[in-house]
Amino acid sequence: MTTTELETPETIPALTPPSVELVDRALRDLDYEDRLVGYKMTPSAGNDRANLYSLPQAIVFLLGTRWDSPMLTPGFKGAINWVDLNAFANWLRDAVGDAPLASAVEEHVLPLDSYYAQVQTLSRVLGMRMDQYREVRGVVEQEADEAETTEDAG
Amino acid sequence: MAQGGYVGKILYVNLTDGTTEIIPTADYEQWGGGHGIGSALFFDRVKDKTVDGFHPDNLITFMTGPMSGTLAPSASGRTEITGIGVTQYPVGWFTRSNFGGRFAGMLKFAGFDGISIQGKAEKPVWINIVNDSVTIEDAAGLWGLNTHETQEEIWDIVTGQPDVREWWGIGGSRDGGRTTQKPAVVTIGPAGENLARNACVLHDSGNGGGQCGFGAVMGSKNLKAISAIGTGSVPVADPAALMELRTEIKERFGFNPDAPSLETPVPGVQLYGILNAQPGYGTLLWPPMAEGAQPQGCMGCFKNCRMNHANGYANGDICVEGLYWMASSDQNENMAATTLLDQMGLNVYDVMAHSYMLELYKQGILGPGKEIDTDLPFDKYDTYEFIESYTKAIAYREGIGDDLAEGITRAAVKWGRYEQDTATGLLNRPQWGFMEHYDPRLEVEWSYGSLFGDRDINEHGVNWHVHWMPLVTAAVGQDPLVSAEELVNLIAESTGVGDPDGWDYSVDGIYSDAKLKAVSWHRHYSRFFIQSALFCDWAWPMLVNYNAGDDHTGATPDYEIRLLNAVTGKDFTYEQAMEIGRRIWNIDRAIWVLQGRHRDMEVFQGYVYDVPTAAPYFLPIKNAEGEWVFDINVGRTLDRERFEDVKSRFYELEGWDPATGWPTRDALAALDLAFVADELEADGKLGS
Amino acid sequence: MADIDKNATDVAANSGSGVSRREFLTGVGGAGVGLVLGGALIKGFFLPDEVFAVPASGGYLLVDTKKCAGCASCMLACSLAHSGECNLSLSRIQVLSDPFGPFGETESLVQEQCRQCTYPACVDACPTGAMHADEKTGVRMVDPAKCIGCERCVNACPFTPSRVQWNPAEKHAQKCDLCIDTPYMTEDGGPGGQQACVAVCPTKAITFVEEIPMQSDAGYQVNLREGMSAWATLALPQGDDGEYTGAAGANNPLAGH
Repeated sequence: MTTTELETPETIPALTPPSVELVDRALRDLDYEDRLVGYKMTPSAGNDRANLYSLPQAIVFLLGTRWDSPMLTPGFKGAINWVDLNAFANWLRDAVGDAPLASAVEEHVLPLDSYYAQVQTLSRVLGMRMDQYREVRGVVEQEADEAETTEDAG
Repeated sequence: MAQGGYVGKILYVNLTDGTTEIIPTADYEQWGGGHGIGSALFFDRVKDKTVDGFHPDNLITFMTGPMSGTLAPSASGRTEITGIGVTQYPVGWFTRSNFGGRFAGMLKFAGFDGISIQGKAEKPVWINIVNDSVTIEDAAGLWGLNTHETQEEIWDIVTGQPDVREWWGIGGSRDGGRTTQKPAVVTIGPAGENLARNACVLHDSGNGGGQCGFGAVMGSKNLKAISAIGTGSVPVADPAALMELRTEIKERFGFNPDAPSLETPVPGVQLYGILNAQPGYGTLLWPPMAEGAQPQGCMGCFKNCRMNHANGYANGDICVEGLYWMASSDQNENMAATTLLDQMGLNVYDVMAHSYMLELYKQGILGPGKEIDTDLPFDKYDTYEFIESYTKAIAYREGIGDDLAEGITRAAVKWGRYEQDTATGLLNRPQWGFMEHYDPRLEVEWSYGSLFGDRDINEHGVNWHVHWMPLVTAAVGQDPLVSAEELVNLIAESTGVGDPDGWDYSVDGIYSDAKLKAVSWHRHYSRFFIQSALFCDWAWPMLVNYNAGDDHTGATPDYEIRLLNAVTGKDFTYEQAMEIGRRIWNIDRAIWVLQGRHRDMEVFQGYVYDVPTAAPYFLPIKNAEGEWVFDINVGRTLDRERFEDVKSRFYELEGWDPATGWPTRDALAALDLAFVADELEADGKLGS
Repeated sequence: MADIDKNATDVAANSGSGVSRREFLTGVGGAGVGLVLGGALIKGFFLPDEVFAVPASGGYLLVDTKKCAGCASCMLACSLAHSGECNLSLSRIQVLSDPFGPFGETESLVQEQCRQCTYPACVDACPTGAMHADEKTGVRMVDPAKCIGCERCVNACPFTPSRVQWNPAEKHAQKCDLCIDTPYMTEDGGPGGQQACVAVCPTKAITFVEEIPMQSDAGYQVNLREGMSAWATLALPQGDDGEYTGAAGANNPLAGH
């Protein structure tokens, strides 16, 4: 079996950690006007427009829920879930509000040759950023828990 | 040579008076089978062709083909339905639908090539066919059951089979025949009973005849189900030749599951299934699950594109129904939604419009107390609760489901949104109220064929190669399996059209005379081979082969003809078969004209002309330098004026009057359809 | 015709290729409890060794029901090759599908073929020698000219559905002969030749073997997927527990959000 050799970057430098405000803003539900439009391309049904109303929804659309194995995941069903990744980067900056992430996508993902290679690398970029989101949120939640505990104790 | 293929009898049932009649198949064999016979029976037996689909006089025919129930690969399992449809807008044209499984074979083993049904029963009934015995049974105990429950109930009623593995004897004597099989049942669910215009007919787990609403037509006749079980034979004129053809086709064009010649180049990315015919089509719809699955096929298939799953959901569902609703992060729920759809008996392509409704909801137009008032929980769109309540609302006509059961197009008309939303493409219904399938601005044999016809054509045989092959290979960063130039030459050769420009999808190419010849070929080929001889649309035509290394020569047209002749003992040539296809296409056209079809009606909805394509859409084009390349074709629309010119030239090519689109006497007479010309003339609708 | 000498007293001398029940049980003893040869447990148990010995069949069909797609092509090919027409009821191999059955459950897909039993009850039951083991190949088959239509063979088959069936058109019993008598197939059939069902099966779920396969009361232990990397590439399970191991594990990127 021939296997596609992917020309993907070996390392992707870490992004500056986001602020709590950035994370909260980036994870919100967007208005209809701010939606991202993708296309689900399937053999049985052709191109079907998909409206994406939040960053988490876009991530699931692009990468599925199997983070380590994009395009092989519940919801993909042998489809190519396509988003114009230029538009995606702009959307990250303008609608979602995560400029560093947008820049990282532009720098590391857009130059790659095939959509498959782009999505593979995108999963690494987004994975790294989501870890950072999680960390920031985790700290916030921990502080909140501590505050609650303190209050209770008082 | 011996004769074979047909079993000799077509069953006619008048539900109004409960009588039956046997029509000799020989009277109609000139039409090939399937759709051709359905059209001819309709023309002969329905005096007023303008009857509404719900009128008792509407005659619906379930027809098999000569190869149904034989070993002919991917040409054995399908049943064609014809009659007046109820989904299309603004007119329910005389139309067709088609489903796979084992109903066609079982009907022939019982001794019938088809069933033609007219009238309306006084109360719910089902038709019970056990070998030669035909009875019309009371369906009081079945009415209200879902499609799966109905079948299980009928299996039990017919065979009373206590042990699923035991031989079941018919007629009490061993010479009556014995079988281990379950009766093959085609049925409607609650949606059909409630006359939902988007109701399908369903057979076994996931074989639906969806488009055009034949489930509702059955419901209007108070016909819940048709069951067939038989122990007889389908005669084969040259058995040894059929056996050899089968193994030859398997070796040369089939997928070897133990040692494939072409596998997906990226492990885990299951997109090659449609090209190399992997069993299960390589998890085309459903990704691998921890619990496992196995391939599942229609009778006699050599590809087996579906799967049965460990969770028991979505068994045998491979087509659009598998895309019904995918909003849950729990795959079991997505699959359960597909099974629910099958059980309610709804056509996915119409009721998939929940995504359109979600857009209206997000825009604040639809929702509780909104302009379009509904309490369906669109705020919980990604929960099973949503899709369950939505699906059942349509099947049972509850709340807004009553609007939706008229079909999304009629619902949008009622809500005052149809013109506006089809102008912007928010509601992408290019023609006759049907969902956009493949892009009508680009893949024009699909859109022209649909508009000059009666529905969404739903014929993938060209599409797999011109669109999917370059898209899939590009997406994974591979060279196309076949270059654009080789591809168009292969197709031109295989179809017999000869001119590769017929598959040039460039800005100019889609209006060329060569393209119109390709569109015409597609209509005639499909009407005969796919819809009448009942070769499966997902397997045939085989225009290009990816399973034999560098030899990409397809099976078409050589093998279709060899299979037909081996089974029937007739002496078809490809050219004769194509002429039968042209004849069927023309009798259909005449029926549409009698129903009111005119050139002026054959226009697409606004977005096709005005909204440019936004996503890459791979198709071969001949560029300015005269080189063939695969282009992504972004930013394309269909030009109104140039399309009007296409109409004039296409009508002339088909022998129809360019001013009206009506067939002329000369053209009809040349097809031995003078009797059709007479009826058009009597109605003042003969082209000149 | 090599009709079976049911009264043979010297098994070893009578049949070089035969296998006595005792020999067989000894041979298989190490393979584990519950593993027996086709028909032996049900019929052979009640017979003294010396009264019932039939030469071993020259081949066997194995069917992997977890690889089978239920398309019934094997059935159509079987009746076509033997009878010259397509007829599920005349097929010597029977596929029984429950369209709604979940993958992996026994009754969801049952494929039943003659097991060419070591101790063939059908042969034993036949009063005329019509049901016999072929002299050359050992394959258990029917000589239609000798069949009197008593159906004792049909009823004697210990399996359900009976692997012997009545052919109502030609008025005789029939069963799988591994395609020895296939007037409508160009290729030679039988052991060493082509079996119609094997030749047409699109998923290669049926295979022909010369060695007698192990089986339990539930059927043959057949897995034609194991070791087939291509099957795993199709994202279909190779193991008999049905588990698919080819995909990477789940890891939800949004966990925690």
